[in-house]
Amino acid sequence: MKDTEQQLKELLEHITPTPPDFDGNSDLIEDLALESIQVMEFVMEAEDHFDIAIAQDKLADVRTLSQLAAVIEDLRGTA
Amino acid sequence: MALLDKFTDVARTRDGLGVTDPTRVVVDRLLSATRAMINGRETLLAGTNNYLGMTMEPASIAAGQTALAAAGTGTTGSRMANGTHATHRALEAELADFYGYPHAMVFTTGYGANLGVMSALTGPGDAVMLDAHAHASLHDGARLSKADIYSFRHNDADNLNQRLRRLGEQASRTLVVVEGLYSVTGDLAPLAAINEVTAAHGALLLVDEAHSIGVLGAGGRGVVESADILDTVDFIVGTFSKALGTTGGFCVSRHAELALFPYCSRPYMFTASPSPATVASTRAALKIMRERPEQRRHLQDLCHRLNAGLKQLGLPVNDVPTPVACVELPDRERALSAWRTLLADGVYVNIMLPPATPGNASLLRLSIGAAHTHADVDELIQKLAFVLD
Repeated sequence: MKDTEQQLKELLEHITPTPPDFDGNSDLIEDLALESIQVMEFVMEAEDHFDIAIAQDKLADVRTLSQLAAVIEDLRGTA
Repeated sequence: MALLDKFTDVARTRDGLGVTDPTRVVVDRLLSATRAMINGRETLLAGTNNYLGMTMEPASIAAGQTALAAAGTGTTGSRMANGTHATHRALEAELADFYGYPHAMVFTTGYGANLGVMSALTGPGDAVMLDAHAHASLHDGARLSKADIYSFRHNDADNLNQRLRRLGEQASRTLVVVEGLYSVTGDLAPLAAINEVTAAHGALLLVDEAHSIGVLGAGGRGVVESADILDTVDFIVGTFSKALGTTGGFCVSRHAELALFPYCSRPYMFTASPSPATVASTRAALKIMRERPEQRRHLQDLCHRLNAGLKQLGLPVNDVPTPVACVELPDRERALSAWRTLLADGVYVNIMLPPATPGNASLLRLSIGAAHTHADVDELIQKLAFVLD
């Protein structure tokens, strides 16, 4: 799980700078102030990186990198 | 009162837009298809999507007036009940004939057309694959359908191919959704490549030609015509509220199943149909659009002039000149300031601010139409140069 989370963090840094205390439990919207269009861009980056398709409804309850990592692990069957 | 709490934030956002709020512009009086009185000043309209200047076309106005007197102010009913008059059917037949398809469907708005068509076509277990820059109405149509929603990178047919591959068997139950001419940035979809990729996966393609009907293609049929895919594209949706100068939306298709969509489309069933006057004006505008290709040629000439002017200002432009162009400003405040200065100087353009913009950019959006003159385009460029200086 940490590996997926770390990869997501690196992808996220292509979209926006992250503060030093940012971690897997930080809120993407509230702590990073990501706009919805940036979240969509980030998800597309993740889809291409992991070669998966993430339907929008899978993201309804995702607020953190850790939660997104769990969704990705589930889709890849590696949870 | 908890339901009302969120409006405190809405009020804060609105008030942050300042005294001259772009969302509260009032046109005091229209002078022509290209000029209006706004804030007591004669203003050049360069953000109204009036691509053929059809709002003030005498024949279209006369047709509406005649229908208003003969059939009254509205239909007071759904297309599925008492709201289908002979004129609605006639407009559908004329649209089908225009595209060379067996059937057309007319809606009360373009927004309703997108919701109505997408929700009729797809449902739970299906998928909708949207271009990343697709209009909000297309996203809303996808949500209403309850299908799985995915996006692909803007105008990237290779990325679409990869993403359809990832869907596996679901790819053949997928509706790919793009715009012909993108409404904010004015760039064109690579439709031939997107159509080919879509077909290769057994998916269907829907093209929203809201900003391209009447504007592009030798006969005004939009990007599907200029890309030469009229014979193979699955669904075309569009609106009457831009080049045709009225209101309403439509869908045409080579697939005979479109005739059954009314039975599966809640936005179609549960909306009052367009008024007979609106339909009559739309029919007149469609006829004029077909008979006067010189309007499109003049518009193309203006598009090239606009592109050349923007290039002279050192601004990036689209490869293919279209009536829509955007100018990116460094941030929200400078975009608002430039927009206000232009309006005070007698030019109305649109402003697009994050989060509703591609790339989260702060943009001025310009649109021109066939009723504009060379001098209008030159005035637009000159005043734009002043605010960007």
